[in-house]
Amino acid sequence: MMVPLFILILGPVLAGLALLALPLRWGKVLAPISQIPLAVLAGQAFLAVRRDGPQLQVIGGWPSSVGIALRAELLSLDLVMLNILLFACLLLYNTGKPYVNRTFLFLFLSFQGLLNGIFLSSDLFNIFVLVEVATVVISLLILFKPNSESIYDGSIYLLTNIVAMTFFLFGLGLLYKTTGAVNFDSLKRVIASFEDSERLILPYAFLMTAVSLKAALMPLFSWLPKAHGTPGAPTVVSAVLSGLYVKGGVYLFFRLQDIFEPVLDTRSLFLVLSLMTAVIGFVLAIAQKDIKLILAYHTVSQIGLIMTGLNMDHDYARYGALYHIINHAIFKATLFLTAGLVIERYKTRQIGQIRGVWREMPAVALASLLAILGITGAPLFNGSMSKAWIMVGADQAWLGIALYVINLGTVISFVKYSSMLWGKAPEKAKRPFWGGPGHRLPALVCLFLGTLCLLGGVLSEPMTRLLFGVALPVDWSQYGRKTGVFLLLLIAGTAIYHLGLKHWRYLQQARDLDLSFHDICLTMAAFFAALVIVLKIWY
Amino acid sequence: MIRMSHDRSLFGRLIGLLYPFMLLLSFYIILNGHASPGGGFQGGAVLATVLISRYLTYPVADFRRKHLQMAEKILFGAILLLPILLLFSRPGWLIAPYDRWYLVAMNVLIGLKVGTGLSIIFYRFAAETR
Amino acid sequence: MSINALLDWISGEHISLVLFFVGLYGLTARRNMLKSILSVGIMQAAAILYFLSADLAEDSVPPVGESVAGQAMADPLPQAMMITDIVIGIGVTAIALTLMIHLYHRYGTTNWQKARDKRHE
Repeated sequence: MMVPLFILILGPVLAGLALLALPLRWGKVLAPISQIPLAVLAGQAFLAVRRDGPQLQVIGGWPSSVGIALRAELLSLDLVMLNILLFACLLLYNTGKPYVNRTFLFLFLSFQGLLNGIFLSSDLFNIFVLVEVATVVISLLILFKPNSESIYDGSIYLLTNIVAMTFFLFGLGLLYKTTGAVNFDSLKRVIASFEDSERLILPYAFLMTAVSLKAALMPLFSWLPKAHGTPGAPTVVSAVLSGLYVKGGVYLFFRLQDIFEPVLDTRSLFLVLSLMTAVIGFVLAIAQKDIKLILAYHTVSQIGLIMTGLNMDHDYARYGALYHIINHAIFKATLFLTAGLVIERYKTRQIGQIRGVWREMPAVALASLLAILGITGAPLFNGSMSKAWIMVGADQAWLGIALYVINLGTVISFVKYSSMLWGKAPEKAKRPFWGGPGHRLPALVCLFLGTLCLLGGVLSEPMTRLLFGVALPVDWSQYGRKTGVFLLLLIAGTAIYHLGLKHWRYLQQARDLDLSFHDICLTMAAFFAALVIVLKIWY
Repeated sequence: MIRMSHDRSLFGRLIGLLYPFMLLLSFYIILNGHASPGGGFQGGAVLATVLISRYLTYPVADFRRKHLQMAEKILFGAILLLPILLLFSRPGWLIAPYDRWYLVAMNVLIGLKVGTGLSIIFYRFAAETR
Repeated sequence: MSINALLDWISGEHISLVLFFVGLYGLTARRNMLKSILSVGIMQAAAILYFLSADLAEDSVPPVGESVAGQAMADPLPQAMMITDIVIGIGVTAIALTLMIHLYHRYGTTNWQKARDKRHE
């Protein structure tokens, strides 16, 4: 029998509610434990889907046209399992942190339930509701340790995202009027046989404006670094936002494109936008001095890469991009968590003032390094596999070159980021491997996630077969060449950074590039108008 | 900001006369939600006006917001648990999806939850901006 | 355009489109955070109006309770969706207003531009 899927959504919320009634001491222990039954359930559902194919469950036994339907398929359950894995790690990481209280645990666990809901929903209106509630929960989480920067950042985050979701809702209204459906299956059926493509342009433009903002596509990404990198946000919140939540937007994009593709094929447009996102993301990442902001801008760049893969007309590239979603979640979470520990120890976020993490906290540095190797695509690590698959889809020379440039940019930004690992530690006394008392569990969690980066690379073939049900062969004989390319990129990156970019004047200006709320709204309106005009010309 | 003297004015007395009718109306809307336009949310909003109008005429928060918040959390839990236990887990096992008593019970819970929730929001703002 | 054509043009759908962009204009042109929140409210109201008026047949009855034979029932789905959206709208607006109050306490202003300048200090 198939597992009831709604438990994956309501279970965490109920757990959080129960923790509100218990003493905090218990809550900190019970919250990670609550992930075990969830993981078991998700695993069972996953196995059932692998055995019997995708499943649709209508909650409460109503007919499927009326009731709320949940849809389980491989991709959504992959993301749900990833979600549970990450939350288990984050909750363990968090047990010793002083700001954790019962409200925090409640909000954090509810957020997990909402995320699962987004991945399992089979209709657009439910997704709208879940995303809107998630927006509110996230702004509370971002502001959990309010200081003067995070209030502004939180307001920007909340309002821009509400505006985007209003676009989404209006688009949904237009879509419902045109097609009479809001759930994926019927939409797909209706739209595939839709004659009058012009009538779909307006709803599509409304929906895509919202989804592009959610997925932080160029030029609508400027809320993301503010939200993910704001000083007040607890580390675990930054990690889950950057690692997973932003993938909700990408997932939605993937779903919508899947529905609209037969009528409105916009892949080439979004391919260009994605590449630009990837490039501008790493340029801004290199320009930052605050380590959390470097990571946050880097998320923008990687999202661009993922979207590039999704918009290529190639199976390898698409699965590579989907695998990269999972990989990115793991290494970006590791990076944010290690950065959190480093910030805690050094009491600063400025990359220039942090030196000698290797000596000061070896375990954390090791985890950091594993994640950096993963994200830069070092051979054998998970990033290299997914990037290689995306590369297969680059059927034109310029696309291949663009992807190399993006990878070079990633390397450069992490040459800068990793500068904090080397050098002399501020104190002479050598710390224990785990970096001192109270750091053992968090460091262990980071190391575990770091090891996953390596495992995800070495075991990429069986992993993709398990997670996506497709066989993506890895050509191990090419590995010598790949290693050579990576080393070349590494040398070039180090050279470019240290010889030229470090002191480049324009980079300083790029750091001050910061859109105000009005600019963001204006960009949104312009994006929408441009999308309508382009589609009108094409169709 | 509406400020009135703390002794009850004519306006206050009139509002006081209206309380029973507001309560009656809100419960009418909640309890008939399954058979007519209206329901838990709409009735809850009317219910909240009772506390809100009380504050507007008599701006002292002399009851404990904590108790209200506790009630709201319990109601939230009940709203989640009731459908899970009765309906979601085994469709059609205990009650049919359109069971009238189930709908009335849910409407009452939602009405109370919305009423407390909106009142809490209002009193929070009132406390913040004082 | 004759006055009748204008009156015909005025329908829930068209007005909602106009309202939506009025809200968007408010977002881009007003510097006060309270006005931004109000603009979002206008946009949400526009979306609700659109949903409720888009497919509505004349003199249809509410889709609940006992129906009279021969009378068309309104489509229940948009109504169910919109009551949900109204609830969410209230929650979101409340949170936004709370943030605004915090912002005011922290920076002494509700002007986006000034708040931004203070943030960068």
